[in-house]
Amino acid sequence: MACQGRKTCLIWRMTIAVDVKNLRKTFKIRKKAGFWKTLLSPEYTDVEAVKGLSFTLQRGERVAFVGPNGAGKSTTIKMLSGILHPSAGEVSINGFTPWIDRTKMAYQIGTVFGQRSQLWYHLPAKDTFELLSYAYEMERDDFKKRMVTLVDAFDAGALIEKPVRQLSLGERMRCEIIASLLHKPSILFLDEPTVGLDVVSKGVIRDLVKQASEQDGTTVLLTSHDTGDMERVCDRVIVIDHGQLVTDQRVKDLRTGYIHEKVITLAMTEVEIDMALDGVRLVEKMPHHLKISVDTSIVSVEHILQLAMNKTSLEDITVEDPPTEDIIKAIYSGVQSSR
Amino acid sequence: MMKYFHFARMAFADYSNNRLRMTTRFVVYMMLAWVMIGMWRVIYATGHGPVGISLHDMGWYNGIVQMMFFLSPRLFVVIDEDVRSGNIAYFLNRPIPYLWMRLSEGIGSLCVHLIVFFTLGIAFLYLYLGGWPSIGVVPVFAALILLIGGSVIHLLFQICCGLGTFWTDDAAFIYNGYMKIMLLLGGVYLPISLYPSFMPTKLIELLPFSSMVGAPSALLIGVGNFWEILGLQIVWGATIMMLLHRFYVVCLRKVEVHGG
Repeated sequence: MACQGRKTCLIWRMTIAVDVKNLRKTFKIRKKAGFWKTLLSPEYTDVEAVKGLSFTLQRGERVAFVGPNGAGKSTTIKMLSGILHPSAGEVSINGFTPWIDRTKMAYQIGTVFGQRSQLWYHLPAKDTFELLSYAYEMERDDFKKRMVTLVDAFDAGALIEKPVRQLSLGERMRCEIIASLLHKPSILFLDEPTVGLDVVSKGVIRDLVKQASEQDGTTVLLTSHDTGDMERVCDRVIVIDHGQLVTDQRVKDLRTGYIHEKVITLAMTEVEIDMALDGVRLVEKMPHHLKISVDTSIVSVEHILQLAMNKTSLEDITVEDPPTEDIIKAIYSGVQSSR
Repeated sequence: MMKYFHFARMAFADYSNNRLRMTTRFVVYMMLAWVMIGMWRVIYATGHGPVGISLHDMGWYNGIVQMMFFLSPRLFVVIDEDVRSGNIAYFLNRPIPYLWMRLSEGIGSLCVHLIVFFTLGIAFLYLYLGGWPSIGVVPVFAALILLIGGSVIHLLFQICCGLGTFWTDDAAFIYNGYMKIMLLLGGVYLPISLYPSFMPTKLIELLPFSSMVGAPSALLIGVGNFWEILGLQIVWGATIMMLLHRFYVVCLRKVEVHGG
């Protein structure tokens, strides 16, 4: 993204929370060889996990970072949060270079890694919160107010009193997110925060993250395999595959850009009707009930409905977009086929 | 500095809460001390005990040596698990260096062990051996003070071994190597003054291993000078801390967080 004029450029920079330019990460993997060869003259293969990623995040934006396994999502998040050093490229997080200004930047970012824990296992979560408040040099009054606010928002009053080992995964994850938000970070990196959770817990976590971000204006970058996280929490989605950017757009625009399909469910007075047409695929057929998938690039929804009404009297009609998961699959398969 | 104090305080609370772990640790210590002293008893019974050191004093020497290994928490295991599980990702994002955070926690846990072993452990040795060493009670306290320094250096070495996981994915074999050197050069099985003549004992005494274990315990058999050992511990402690810091910077460049 470019800006023109000094003043415009300055304003643009002030609204940018994360600025990534041509980011690259190459891992060296040792080749398998005989014992002595590995010991004396090991050979390495370069594996490019991230290949020249560029994107920006505005302040307060909630962005999903999506991609299949091995796409480079976690590697990117770890470079943005200063854990990994990139092989090339530039990153600016609130004006800081993560791997150089790690300590200064730590006060401004929060991280949640779904498969990891930062809580002390044998002690209640509130003890970890208190410890973190010292690590982040929070004033006592500020810490107490902040903890009360977050504990109320996350409905975690009873949870924080129990030793962490006694919490369920969903309960623990709520405490993990509180721990990450305690120092009021302006940017929150979430790496698969709902992994392993049941449907109810996932919903709770998604709503809480969104709510916390809206209240504090926190910028959120979320990686997940679960498209529900993307839909419920984020406004924008960046899809990457094999370390490269595939698409970067609003979540609501994703449907129109990548998939030309609608699912139509009809409840009718006739026992059955024939809807065999080009671009129409039968999904489910029962007496007085028909579910079809329509390729809108071949035949319009209006035409299908007109045809159905000519053949029978309709009691109910539902027109749905396909699940987001199918859209993401379509994006991935589009990338695969273009390779 | 207060940050570090709070991390130590937290580890103290965590270790204090786990009474089963503490009890097990102390029981194992008593068993090991009992076995080691028993072995010396057999050697003395055959008439091959070292000249000039009574069985009673050798018992105290061994009891204190073994205690050192039970004072320090197994910090290398913690670091090894952090690196291998990828949990280190959380800790690297904090405004407190991971290295010193873990050392603070190690010192917090060490304090719990100091309380238990310096009271119950000394009481056990006193009762089992039937009194203070022949040189008196003061060297016991001097040795205990030096054991604190030795344990901190042991923690630093453990951190060093743990950081090796960044390269090897397994700190255990590095730690085992370190422990073998410690057993050989630290005066763990017998005082360095009794080492065979072909070994460079003067040089061995200047190494950190001896100042951690053998030298403090040797005060109980009337060998060594408290202030010299303390000075050596300070020099080695500071040197290892500086080297560790340099090593940590290299590790940060090497870090590859596991699990994607």
